[in-house]
Amino acid sequence: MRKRTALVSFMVIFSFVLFSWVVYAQEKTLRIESDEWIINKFPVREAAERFQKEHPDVKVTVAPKEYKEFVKSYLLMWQSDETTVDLGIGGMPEQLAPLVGADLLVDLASVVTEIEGIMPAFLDTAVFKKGEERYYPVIPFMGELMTLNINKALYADAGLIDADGQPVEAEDWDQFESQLQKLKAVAPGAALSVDWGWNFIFYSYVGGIQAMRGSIYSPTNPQWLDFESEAALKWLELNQKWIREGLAASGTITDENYGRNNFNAGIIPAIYTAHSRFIEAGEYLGEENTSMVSLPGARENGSIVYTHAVYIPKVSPAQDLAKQFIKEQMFSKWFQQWGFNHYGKLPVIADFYDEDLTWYQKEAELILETVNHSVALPKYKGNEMLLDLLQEELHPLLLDKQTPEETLSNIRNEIEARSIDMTRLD
Amino acid sequence: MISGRTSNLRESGVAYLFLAPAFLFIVVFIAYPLVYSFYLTFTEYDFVYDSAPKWVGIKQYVSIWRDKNFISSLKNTLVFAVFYYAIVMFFSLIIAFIIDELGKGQTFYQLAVYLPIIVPLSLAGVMFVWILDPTFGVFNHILRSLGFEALGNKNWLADYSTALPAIVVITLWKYIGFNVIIFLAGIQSVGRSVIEAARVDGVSFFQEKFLVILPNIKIHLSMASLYSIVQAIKVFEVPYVTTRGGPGTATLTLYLYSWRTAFGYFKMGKAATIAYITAALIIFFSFLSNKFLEEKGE
Repeated sequence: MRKRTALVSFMVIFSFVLFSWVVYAQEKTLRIESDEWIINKFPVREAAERFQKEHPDVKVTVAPKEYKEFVKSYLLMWQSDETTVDLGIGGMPEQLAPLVGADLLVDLASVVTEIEGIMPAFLDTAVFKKGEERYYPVIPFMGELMTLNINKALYADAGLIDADGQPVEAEDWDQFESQLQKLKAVAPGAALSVDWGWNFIFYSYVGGIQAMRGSIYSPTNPQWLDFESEAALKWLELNQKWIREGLAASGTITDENYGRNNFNAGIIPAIYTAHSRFIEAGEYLGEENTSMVSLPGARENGSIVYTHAVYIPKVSPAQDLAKQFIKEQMFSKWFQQWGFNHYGKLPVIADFYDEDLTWYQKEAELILETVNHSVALPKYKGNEMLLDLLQEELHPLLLDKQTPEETLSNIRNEIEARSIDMTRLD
Repeated sequence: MISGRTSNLRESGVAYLFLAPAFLFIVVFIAYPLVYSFYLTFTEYDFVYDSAPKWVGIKQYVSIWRDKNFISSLKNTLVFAVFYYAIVMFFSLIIAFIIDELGKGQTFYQLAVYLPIIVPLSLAGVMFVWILDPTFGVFNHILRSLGFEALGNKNWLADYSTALPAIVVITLWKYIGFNVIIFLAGIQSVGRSVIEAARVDGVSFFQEKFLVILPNIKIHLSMASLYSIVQAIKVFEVPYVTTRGGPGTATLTLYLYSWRTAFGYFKMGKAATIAYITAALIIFFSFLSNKFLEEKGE
């Protein structure tokens, strides 16, 4: 009797273990890690559920990753041939450059060819070079455009709204400055905040130069960013002057959310930063009260675009599943438009700028037009060092501690002195 | 005799067996990283592009002195350390004396000064950035309502002259509670008989505090001093969270620069060198502090 009970128990346990093993072996898992803000601003979890429904044999997990330090963590993990993630979501391509440099990411060129209509300006942000060969270790899934986000109510108070109810776009820098003076007279705070925060300083610096001369590269060394042209000098002179005269605020120097918070609170009427800030502010100020205008020259010369990307580590055992998820979910019309309809994040596919965008239709047209002739930042090996150098030199300029000429000369000299590696990765 | 020796051997074998996990832990997690990072100071190693560290001898220790940012971060760290150390030692002692004098509500005040330590630093950083915001910050609002218009429009964290002092104040708020608790424990451990005897001898209030109690809490002074030196020279979190070393390099400190060099630029050899120079500073000042307190005690 006892023997029989033992035998039955053994059989039950054995069957259970066998069954679990078979189920486990059949179930495929896709592990997604994403920046937390992306999980909040895109339907990543919903996309995972949809994917599971369409592929019942696949289990998809979504976890937030540490925002600023994930590149370091992934480097350490993937260099040891380990991974907790099959699909990474979030991170700007230039920020992901160390992972590309260490050759840890899967080439996604085949996925890029299968997805139709990615706008060239956005796609350019994801190109890297191996020797002379161009390849795509990352794919941008959302875009942003540097532009002047404005508060229409305050623009109206300053008499800067035309007969059609649209904000008046300054044609040149003198007119722009006179607009700032009018805005300053009616605004509770400064008239303008340019985003000089550590995460935007690159874009803000080159954004003005692109608007003025249609290029962000040095006139004498086309591989280098422009630290010498007349336009570069003028952009710095203007910013220094505006802050000195109280027309522009300097708060973003240490608080990257300074401009955004003050814009959302209706204190500062114009902020030069990513376009999605005016759409985000629509939540607080009303859709009818926020919009965007181009900087003088940007309509013709374009602006700066940047993106956040998806990528697959070479050590992932689920590379095909990850590619499938990217194609089926992240580049679906539903996913791409969701980001715009809720938080103003740009679809990267031109065809998705249609009537299904539920708000800011007029602005979407202007954005699309500007994106088409905008440019992306180059990716240097020494990107982080260059970024820190820009902060070190632009902060004293903006706080009136050094002249624009000294600033540009210091940047050029320090690139040499610190042996910043300006080798292009794209 | 033989069985005694066997028993001894067995006993010591068992002792080693029990010690082994701790020993292994120390070797793997403390000794190895220390030795390896010290080795890195004699190498050039780009974590992304180099397959292995390249031996360069003492080059890092020589070239680091030509690095403008290192000099700047060293200067900032020393200025920060001097002000932070002096203020935290003095005020925590005064606060401890005051709390000790309070008849009622001692526990409440102890809790109140200790509370900032358990507030997550990321939260504290955001809180202070908002408090010190030039436009809608509470601090400037108070200044403006008191009639200090010019000061009330200042951007404290983005101004070259006030950014580092602001970091000192935030760090004090965050960590002063620890010293207060140490001092309070010391003050309350001094025997009542000693104080009563001094009072019988007619000492004044201040003499009682500084000439009777203070010499009796030397060990607590030494502990608080050591902790404060380490805290002052290792300053990293507050500038990282509030200013990221800016404006320019006005609040760039040694540890922040070391971290940035390691995990921003991936230059591991240079980062390790900065970290070891920082550690050397801590050891030097701790030694000075101990020496000074020893002499005072003799």
